[in-house]
Amino acid sequence: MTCIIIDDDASSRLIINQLCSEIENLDVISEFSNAMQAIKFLNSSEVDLIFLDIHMPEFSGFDLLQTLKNPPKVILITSDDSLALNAFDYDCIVDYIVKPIVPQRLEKAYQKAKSFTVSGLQTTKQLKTSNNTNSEFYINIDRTLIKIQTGSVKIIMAKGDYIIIKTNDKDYQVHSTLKKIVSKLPEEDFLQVHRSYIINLSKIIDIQDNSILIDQSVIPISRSKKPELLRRLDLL
Amino acid sequence: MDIPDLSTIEQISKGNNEFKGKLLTILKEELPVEIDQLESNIENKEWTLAAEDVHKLKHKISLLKMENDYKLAQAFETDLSKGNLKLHEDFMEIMKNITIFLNALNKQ
Repeated sequence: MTCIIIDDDASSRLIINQLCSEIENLDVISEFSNAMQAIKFLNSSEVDLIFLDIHMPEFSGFDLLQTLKNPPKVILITSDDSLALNAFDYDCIVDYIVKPIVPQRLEKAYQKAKSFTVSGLQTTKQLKTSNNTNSEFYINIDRTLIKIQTGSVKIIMAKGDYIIIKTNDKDYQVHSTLKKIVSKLPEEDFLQVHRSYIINLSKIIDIQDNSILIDQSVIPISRSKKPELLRRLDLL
Repeated sequence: MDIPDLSTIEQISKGNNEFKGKLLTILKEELPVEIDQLESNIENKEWTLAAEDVHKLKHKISLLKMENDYKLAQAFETDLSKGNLKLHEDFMEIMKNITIFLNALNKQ
C-alpha cells in the first residue's frame, strides 16, 4: 500500500514516516508540509492512503478533502479530538488518531485501512445533485423574453433585489435572485464562489489568493467556496 | 507545572537512537521559532494565528507527556482565539521549561 503524509509539523511527519517504515507493505512515497503542494501531487499521482493533519494554516485537512474528486483512504491525525464528528461527513476517512501518535495506534489504523473500502467522497454538500444541463434560458426584461446562451454568461452578481448577468455582449439587470438563476445553469460549468457571485468557470483568466479575474472584473472567493473551486479546476 | 518526560518518545523510537536524536533535534530547532511566531502574533493581535501557533506547540507538550500543561495549553488556545491573554504567562513558563529541558538533553 502506498501512502503520503500531509502535516505542517515536521516532528509529526518524522514520527509518522518512522512508524510507517516499520509496517510491512506500507510505503511512504512523499510527504508535504502544506495542503496545496499535496493537491498538486494528488492531481497527477495515485496513492492508496493519506495520513492527513486537520489543522494546517490557510488550508485545512477538511478543505483538502473537499478538493479531491476521488479521494483515497484517509487517516486523520490531529491534536484536537473535538473535530472527530466532522470526520463522519466523509466516506473515505478510515480512522482518526489524536496526537501524540504511538506505534500501536498507527498500526491499528493501518489494519483498518487495509480492510476498508472507499465508496467515494460524498460530503453532505456534494450529495446535492442537479439534472440541469440547459444551454440556454430566458430572462424577462420590460415584458420581453430574451434568450441567453449559458455559454456566453461570464458572471452573475447579486445587487439588492436584482441580479446582473454579464454576458460576452451585454449586461442585463433582472429582478431575480442568485438562488433562482443557479437552478437554470449547467452545474458543471458554473460555480457560486461568493454569496454575491456566480461565475462561469471557463471564463476565468487567473486566480490570485482570494480573488478571480474574469475579463476586467475581480471577483472575491469565499473561504468556504475555495476548496470546491480548486476541486473543479485542472491543476497542473 | 509538569516535568518533561521522554517515555512517549522512547515508545515511538523503540531503541532507535538515530531516530530519537533526529526527533529531539527537530523539537529543539522548531521550538524557539514557534515561540517567537506566537509572541509576534500576540503582539500584533492576530488572535487566530496566535491560537494556531499554540495548537502546534501543543504537540510538543504532548510528546513530552506533560498532561496537566497540555490541558492548560488547550485552554489557552481557546482563550487566545478570543483575544484573552489570561493564561499567557503560565503558558510561556511551560515553554521555558521545555526549552531548558531540550537544551540540557543536547548537552548530555
